[in-house]
Amino acid sequence: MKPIASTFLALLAFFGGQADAADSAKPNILLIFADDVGWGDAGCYGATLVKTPNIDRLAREGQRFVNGHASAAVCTPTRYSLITGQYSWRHQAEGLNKGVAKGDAPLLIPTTMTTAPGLLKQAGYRTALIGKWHLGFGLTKPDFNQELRPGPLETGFDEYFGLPATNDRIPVVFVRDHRVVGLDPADPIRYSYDAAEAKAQGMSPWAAGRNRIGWGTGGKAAWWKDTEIAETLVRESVQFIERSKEKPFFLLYAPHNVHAPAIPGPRFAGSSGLTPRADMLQELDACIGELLQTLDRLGLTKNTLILYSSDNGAYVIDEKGHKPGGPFRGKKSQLWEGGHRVPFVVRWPARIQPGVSADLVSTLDMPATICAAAGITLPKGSLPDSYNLLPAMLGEKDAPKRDHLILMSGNGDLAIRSGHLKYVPDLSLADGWYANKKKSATARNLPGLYDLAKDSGETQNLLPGRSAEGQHLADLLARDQASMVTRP
Amino acid sequence: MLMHSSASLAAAAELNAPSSLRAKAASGDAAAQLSLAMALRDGKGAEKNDAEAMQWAHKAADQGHAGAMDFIGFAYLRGAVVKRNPEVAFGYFKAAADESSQAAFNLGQCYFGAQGTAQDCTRALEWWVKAADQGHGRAAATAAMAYHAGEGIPRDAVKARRLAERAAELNNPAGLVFLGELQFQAGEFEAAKASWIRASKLLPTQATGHPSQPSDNASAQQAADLLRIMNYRQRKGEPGKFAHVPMPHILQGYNNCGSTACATFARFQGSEICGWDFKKLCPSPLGTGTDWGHLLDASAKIGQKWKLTTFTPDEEGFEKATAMLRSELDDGRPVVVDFKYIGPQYPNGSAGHTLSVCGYIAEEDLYILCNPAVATPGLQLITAADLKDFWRSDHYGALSKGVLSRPAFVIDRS
Repeated sequence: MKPIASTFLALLAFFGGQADAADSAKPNILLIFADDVGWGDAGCYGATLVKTPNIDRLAREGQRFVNGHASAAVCTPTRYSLITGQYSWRHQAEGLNKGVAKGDAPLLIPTTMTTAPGLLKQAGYRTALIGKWHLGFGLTKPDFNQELRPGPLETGFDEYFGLPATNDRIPVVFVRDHRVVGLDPADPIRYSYDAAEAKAQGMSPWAAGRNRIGWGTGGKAAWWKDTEIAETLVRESVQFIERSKEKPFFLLYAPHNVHAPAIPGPRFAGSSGLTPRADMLQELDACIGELLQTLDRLGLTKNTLILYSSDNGAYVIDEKGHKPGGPFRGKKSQLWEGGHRVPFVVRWPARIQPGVSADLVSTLDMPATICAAAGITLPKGSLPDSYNLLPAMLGEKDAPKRDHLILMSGNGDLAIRSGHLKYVPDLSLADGWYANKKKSATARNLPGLYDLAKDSGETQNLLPGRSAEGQHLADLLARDQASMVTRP
Repeated sequence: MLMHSSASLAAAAELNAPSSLRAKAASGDAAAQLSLAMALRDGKGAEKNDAEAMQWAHKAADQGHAGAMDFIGFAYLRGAVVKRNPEVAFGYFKAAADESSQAAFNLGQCYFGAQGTAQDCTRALEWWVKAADQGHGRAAATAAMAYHAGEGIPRDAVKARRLAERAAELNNPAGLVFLGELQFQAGEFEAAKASWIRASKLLPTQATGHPSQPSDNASAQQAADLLRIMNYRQRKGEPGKFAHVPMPHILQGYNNCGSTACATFARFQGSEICGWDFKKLCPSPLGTGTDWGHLLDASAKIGQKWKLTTFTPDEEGFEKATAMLRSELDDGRPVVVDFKYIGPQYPNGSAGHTLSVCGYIAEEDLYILCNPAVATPGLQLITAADLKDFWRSDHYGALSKGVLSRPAFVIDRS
């Protein structure tokens, strides 16, 4: 008996060792996806009045992209694309081809769809979303007293903890996997996004200390405290990293910073000397610092790919001298650069050389890029609009690059960027949620063409002078709209 | 929309007629709804009805009444009216803590005692201090004790004294008791006496107290006890007549009497350990009772030499047990004991409690306890009759196996 047993053990050890070696080559992936953070909201992008040493460290140790864009100028569509690698406007659903998901939206991602987290999970990754979801739950209006299924776990995540929608939407509760955390069954959550229904049922917009979007009652034991959201999410993230360190992990850390209402934790209130939003930005930076320290402490820094970006531009233009949008025109929801131009930093000490890049990149490209980093060959038709930017990030010769990108406003109106040029089919719609229809009547239906190399503030419309180039971009936009797959 | 607890108290005072209270509650008045819930829970002014009490409290809480949220949270923390659920309790306290000082106090208790949340003593202190600022006397007293003992946070004698004075300003009985203790320890005997006299007059007292009384009454009683033993504490013990072994004052967290009593016992012997650190040497989670076997193992881990000794629960056993007690106390050594309280006020009909005996007065047949009780930590008197009644336990550890006896930890001199 004895020799047989030892042979068997030796075999086990051999195969066990092989599997470990293969897994250890795969990088961990930490995707930090901030909320409403603008291009100019960090020191490495030129901010001087807010201090962001940790984001700056990421940029110093990684690659900083100055021409990075959210795929839409508002939250839900960008987040949809981040997970599916598909332009959100291909779907006719509120929150995807216009606006954002209402607080009572069903799950906006078809569970049959191939997603980046799903592919990573199949490839042996432990996957988690910690933070903001805002892509709906269930098949109809979700009942927060029951299991919230399907949701993040049905779109490829092994674990989920976070805010169902935004920090200003009812219900103001955390969800873990399929359940609201700490809910008292005797105090069920009733809520509505219909003013008449809410009034008839005596619901209130007041929850956890302030008025919110939507109306509701109940669920009080499960209410979060606005001042504790950031620390809660970062604590959960640290715990996830700690318990996942033995196998490769993918963590989508989606903090609520710096979405309104801007309520920083007590350690950061007043820390910037500017505004609560700026304080919240410094809180975000500290949270990122905590994650970087965790990776350092666990010896995971070298082989962890970190990507940092935001779901859309900032919702303010000036905060006591601080310019969240940097030099760009406009803000959240708009087709102007300020609506969608966002910080975009990647760091992977094992493989990516530090530097700065002016390549056109989008949050839409993150899904294909991280799958490539994990060694995944994409199934045909999956992540259809997502470009794999990894070869370019690794500095490979003749690496394919994105040559054009479609941008979407908060109302679902599109624009296109190619090279230095940006084409806006209807300038009256460029102001997104802030469009003043009366005032912009003169511009109605007029297209715009801007050369961002020479005119980063988008002040000089090159049309009708350069109409051939305008027409070329209009055709490109129409072509992509009509096709199902845009990745070459 | 929000009402402060003082407003609800005023409303409660006005609305002592149950029929008008019901009418007002039914009309949607949140303060009246909470008053009615209290009346129904306590069976005062209305027939006791826990389920209906909770319904009215929920109605008031739905209107954003912070006091009502605290009421519901406390029900879940205690588990007396509804099934105990510390996580839900914690949630209600958190939701109400900005508007209700009582909820802020309770939220601090949850953070301190790891109830429904991870332990965070720093945050517990923040909430207690916040509640104290809003006029919550017991929060001030509790924070003072935590700073004094350095329980979970760095010791800070200045903050402890300031908060104890704040609690005394607010006329909180526990605060006055503790301020008196600080004054006594600082040699300010007249001031200590004045504090204890003030506390003892706030509520009715008797010759000695009983654990079933409300905590404020217990504090007033404790003040009376402290006045009674004040002179003994300043004299050298007389073997056979009286003894008093000075013990450090520390603060217990929720369900942490065993570890706290043992930490006090260890501190008496020169250790620096706090109750929570002692608990962390035991395998059971924070916020749960501790097996005496685990306590003994923990004492060994910090270099203490204790032994467990037991006596029979009968008359003869009590004689032997008290003979041992007096002998130990005469030699200047306290003894840790385990009590069993029986009564309808305890969930499941009984409750265990671990504490120390640190003195006796023979001619009055009294013993001095060093009690880590949540609301009234510190010295207390107990009659020999009550000691005989309470010093019995059948669940102090796996060792007891349900057999009733009088257990004690004594210092092992072998």
